[in-house]
Amino acid sequence: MTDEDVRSLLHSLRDEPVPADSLARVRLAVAERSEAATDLKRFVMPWKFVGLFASVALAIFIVVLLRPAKHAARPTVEVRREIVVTAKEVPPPAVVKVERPNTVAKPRRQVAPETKLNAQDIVVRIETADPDVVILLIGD
Amino acid sequence: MPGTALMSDSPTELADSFEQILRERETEILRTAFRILGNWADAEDVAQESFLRLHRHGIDFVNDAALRSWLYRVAVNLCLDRVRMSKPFEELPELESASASVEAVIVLDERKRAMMTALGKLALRERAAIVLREIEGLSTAEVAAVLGSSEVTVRSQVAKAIRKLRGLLSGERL
Repeated sequence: MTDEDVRSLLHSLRDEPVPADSLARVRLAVAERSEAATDLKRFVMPWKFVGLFASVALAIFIVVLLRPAKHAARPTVEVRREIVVTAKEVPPPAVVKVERPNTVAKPRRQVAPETKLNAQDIVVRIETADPDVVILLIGD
Repeated sequence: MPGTALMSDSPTELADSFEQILRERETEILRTAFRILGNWADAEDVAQESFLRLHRHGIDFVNDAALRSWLYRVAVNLCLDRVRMSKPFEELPELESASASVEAVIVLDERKRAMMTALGKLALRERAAIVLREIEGLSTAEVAAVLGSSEVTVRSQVAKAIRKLRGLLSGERL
């Protein structure tokens, strides 16, 4: 047997009929399963949109819910007002002549009354080491 | 031609296009799956799954050749996955193991049956390459695209497969 014989034998297999019942089974099964897949796709497709819509709505709701209150959220904007300083001419103070008496009563000095000691009263005079401290023993 | 209907947009037209593609392509996809897997039950499953994937994927192909290549690629990959997950190819059931109704329908002569058994003894990718190239009549470039390999690799795989088949059919008793 040569290579050509092998090839021609292989080619002869090409024309071999395929069993009709096998073909029918394949066709039927494919039709059934593809139809089921199409039906499922048709059923699932609207729900996909519903799910998508619900997800988006939920996301928006959460965003709105989590957003802080309006007052808190409002940023404090510091508005700097320009302070306009207008220089006004201040009128010179009115000079009022106050007549005062020339003699001003001086406050009286409170002078402690001097205690005059008589030489006869001092009995003993003790001078301490401190020159400022002198102990006087006064007799009655 | 499915290529002309591929660009239609309305659901009814798309459904019609899909039906048309199914009718035009089911034979070759089922036959290819059978050549690789060796039994009709698994081949039917693979063909079903291939067309359902086409339905999910959509039929917006640039032309008929792109659609054909895509379908073959899906079908062959499903076959390879199925074989890898189930049993080693040496233990693949021979043609006789198909259902009785299949036996009644398909009348194979002795040489063809021997060839089918020999095909089952090839390495998986060699089997896919020779089925696509020699039985389905795809070009080397198309086979390379379907299998995701280079044309050089495909040529090498086909040559190796033919050498093995020749040895199996002439030397060994199958």
